[in-house]
Amino acid sequence: MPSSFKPILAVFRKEWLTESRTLSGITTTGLICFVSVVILNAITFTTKLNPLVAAGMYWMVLTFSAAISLPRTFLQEEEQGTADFWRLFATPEAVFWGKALFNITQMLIATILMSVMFLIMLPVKLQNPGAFAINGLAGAVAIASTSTLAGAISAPASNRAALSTAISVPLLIFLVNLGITGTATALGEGLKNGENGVIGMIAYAIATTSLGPVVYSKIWKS
Amino acid sequence: MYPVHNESVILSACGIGKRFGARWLFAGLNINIEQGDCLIVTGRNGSGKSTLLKLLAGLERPTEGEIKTTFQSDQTDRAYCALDQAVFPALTVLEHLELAAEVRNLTRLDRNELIASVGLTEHKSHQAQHLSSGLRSRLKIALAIQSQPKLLIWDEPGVALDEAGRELVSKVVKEQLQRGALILATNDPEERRFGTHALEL
Repeated sequence: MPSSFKPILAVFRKEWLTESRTLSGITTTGLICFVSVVILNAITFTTKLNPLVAAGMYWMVLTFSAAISLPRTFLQEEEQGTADFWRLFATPEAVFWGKALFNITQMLIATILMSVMFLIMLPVKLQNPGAFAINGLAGAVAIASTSTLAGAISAPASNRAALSTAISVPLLIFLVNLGITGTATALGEGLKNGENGVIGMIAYAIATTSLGPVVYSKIWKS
Repeated sequence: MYPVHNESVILSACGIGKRFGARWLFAGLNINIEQGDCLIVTGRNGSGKSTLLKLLAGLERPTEGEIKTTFQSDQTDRAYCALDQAVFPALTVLEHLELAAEVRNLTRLDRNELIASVGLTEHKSHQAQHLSSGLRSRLKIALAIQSQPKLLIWDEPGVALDEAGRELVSKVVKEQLQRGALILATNDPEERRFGTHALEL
C-alpha cells in the first residue's frame, strides 16, 4: 500500500471503530430516514404521489439527515478536545480524506436503506431502476463530501454547530435540485436532460473533495 | 535571554507573544532550544505557561513573532504531552498507539514494549473512557515518546501521577535528554531540578 494512503485509512479506521462502538451517526441518520418515511407513508397512504413531489421528499430527508449527522465527525473532535491529536500527529490532508471517506461510506449505507424503505413504503413506481440507483449513489457521495467540507470549515469556530448548518444549507440546495431532477426522471417524470443531474452531482463531489483538504489545511491551526 | 543561534539549535522562537482580546498574556519572548537542553517554564496560574507550550508545540499560532524548527517532520520530531490533552474515549490503549503510528507512517516499533514501559500492559485492551486520569496520563506519555522525538514539550508532567508514575517521568526525562531536548512547564521543585535553563512568565 502506498505510504500516503496508510494515514488516510488509519483515520477512516478510527472513525469506523468509534462509530461501531457508539452508533451515534448511523443511529441519527437511520432514525431520521425511518421516521420520515413512516410519516410520509401515513400521509400519502391513499394518494398516488407525483414523481417530482416524491423525489423532493426523498432528497429532503437525505439532505437533512446528512446535514445533521455528517459534520459531527469534525465538530465532535473540537468539542471533546481530540482535534489536537490530529494536529500533533497527522497531516490535514490525511484527516480530511479519512473523514470524507468515512462520511461517504456512512451516507452510502443511509442512502441504500432510505431507498429501500422509500420504494417499499411509499406509493411510487420505479420506471428506471438503473438511473435511480446511480443518481442516489452519486448524490450520496456529493452530499457526504459537501457536508464534510462544511464540518471542516466550521469546526474551529466557537459557534461551530450553527455555523456548520449555515454553511451546509446553501451548499446543499444546488445539489438537492440536481438530485430531484435525476430521481424524478427515474420515477417517470418526463423531464428533459434528467441525466445531467447525475453528471452535475459527480462534478460537485469531485469539486468539494478536491477543495476540502486545501481549505482545511489553511484553517486547522487557526 | 539565550545564546545567539548556532547549528545545534533545534527550535528557535523569536519575539513571540500571545494576545487574547485586548490582553497580552506575554510578549517579546526569545527562546532557543539546543540538543541536551531542558527548559523549565515556571509562573503563577494564568501566566501563560500552557499557552506558551502550545505555541512551541505548533498547536496554536503566536499573535506576534515566529517559531522556527529544524525538524524533518513535525509529526515525529516534536512531541507534546499535557494534562488537558484529550484522548479518544472509545479507543483502547493499543488502538491509540496503532493510530498514532499509522498516521505518522511509523514502522519498526514494538507497541507492546512501549505499553509495558509506561506500565499499561494490563490496560492495553481497555477503552480510554474507562481509564483513570493517571492511566490516561501514562497513555499520553506513551503517545509522546512513541516516535522518539528530538524535542519533548511537557506540561505539568507529574500531575495526576502516583509515585511509580513520577518515577516514570524521571526515567522519560533522562532518556529524552540523551536523545534530544525538553521543555517542561512546572512549578514542582522536584521537576525543576531537571532544568538546564529556566524561564519565568
